[in-house]
Amino acid sequence: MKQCQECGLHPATIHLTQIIDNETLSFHLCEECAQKRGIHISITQQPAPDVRPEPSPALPDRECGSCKKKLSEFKSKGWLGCPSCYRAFEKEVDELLFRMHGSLEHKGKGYRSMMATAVLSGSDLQLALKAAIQDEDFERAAVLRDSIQDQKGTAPA
Amino acid sequence: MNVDLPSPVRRRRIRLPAWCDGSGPESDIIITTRIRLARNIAGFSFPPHASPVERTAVYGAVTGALKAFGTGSTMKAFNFSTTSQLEAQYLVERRIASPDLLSTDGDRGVACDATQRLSVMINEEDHIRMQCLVSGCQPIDAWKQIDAFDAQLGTAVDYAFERRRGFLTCCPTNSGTGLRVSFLVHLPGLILTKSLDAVLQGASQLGIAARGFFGEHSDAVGSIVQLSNHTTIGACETEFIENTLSSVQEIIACEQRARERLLSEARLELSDKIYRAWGILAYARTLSVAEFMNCSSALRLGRDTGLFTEISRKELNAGMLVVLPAHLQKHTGRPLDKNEIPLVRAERVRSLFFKKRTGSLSDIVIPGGI
Repeated sequence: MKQCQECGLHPATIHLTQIIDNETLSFHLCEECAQKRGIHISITQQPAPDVRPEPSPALPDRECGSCKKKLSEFKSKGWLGCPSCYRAFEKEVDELLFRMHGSLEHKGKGYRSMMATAVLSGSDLQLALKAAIQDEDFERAAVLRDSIQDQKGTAPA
Repeated sequence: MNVDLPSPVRRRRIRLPAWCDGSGPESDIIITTRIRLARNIAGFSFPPHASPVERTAVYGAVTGALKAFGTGSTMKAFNFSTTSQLEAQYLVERRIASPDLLSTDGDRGVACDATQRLSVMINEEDHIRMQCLVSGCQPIDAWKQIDAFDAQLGTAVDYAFERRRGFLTCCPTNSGTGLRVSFLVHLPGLILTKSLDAVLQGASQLGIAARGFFGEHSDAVGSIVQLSNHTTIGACETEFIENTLSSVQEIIACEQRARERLLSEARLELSDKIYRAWGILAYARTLSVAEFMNCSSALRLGRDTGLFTEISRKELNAGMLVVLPAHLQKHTGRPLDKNEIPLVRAERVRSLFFKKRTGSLSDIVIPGGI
């Protein structure tokens, strides 16, 4: 027998299915928890009470460390605030891109940003990358990471 | 009966953009090809989120960079924060600035060359939106030009770019290549045979977005539709261009079949529609943009099917611009109120289409077989 999904301690003896707005919700409760939710077992027919779970508290809004754009604003309008938002809201941006384009990988022309200074190399680049991450300058960090990968790619075997 | 020709309204000569010449392959259906690239400058907020100071800095950086290199140095910049409303609207009608650029604040605008083939919008949704606009079907030519321009500009300003995501844009749906290739196509055959919706639905499955002549959310006025790629990441620029072109050519094949069907099954009705449109443009004393566009579409179809030879493609292309409100006001050299515009438009059309002609509709030779 299933355990009560509310308390998890007692067997679920009351099984309730509600269809609200074409959404089917099933609940498996013990008698005690059912009563707490206002469900009274009766032979008379009564409209079933609304036993939808309390809405979970909204996740705290996030913001981009660089431009202070809020995730909620991006979700409502679809606009990011600055290039660093791509890092700050990486998961959400990736989901959107994959849904729209079916791909997350740029295969077009490249670009060598002037932000990656040519004089930096090897360990200096690694240090600069660490500093950029600490400063939450993700844009510069991405460029430096690309430069490190470029140098690895061109290093003699 | 003689056409009542107005005295020519000859006030200001307006130079037409290069795409109006009606040249280029498949220009009987494809009016223009446009390739746009979206770019942003690293270290600055995107325009909708930027402070006035940032917008000014970006505007200065881009216009300064343009002055520094070959193609850009011949461009003229229009800052919409200081340009008159009429001038700004005129540039929107020229299809080198978007209507959205009119309604935002701060330093923003457009820079373009004399032919308006190459232009750059600054501080619209992205810091930089550069485009190459050419007549007919010339996507490779347009791509080569805009690619070279982009490479030059990218050495003067620092683009926001990541290896994995490509060029970063305000709306992530434009990121990656930042490329939009769009074809302005004339599809009266599909409209008259009531098959446009079905064809566009099929195109949508192939990743083609359709908009009206006046951009997003506008109708297919004058049987003109803009077809463009939907996807910007996951393939290289030339693949996007080739794939879009391939889908557009399928639509063109449908349009050609529809035209052949109309010619074989409804030649008289088609001819009647064309000459009625010609009559309206010759005699109407007021014209709306939609009415002009629909009549112009009939004449264009007549020209491209050989049923009507009175007017050139270049004149028809010019007509699409000169009837628009800011163009009419620039031409007359004074502000026009909304009641006056339809009247001036009708006069302008007669001046453009009928001034050099005999003035007698009976002189028009109707091709045989009708």
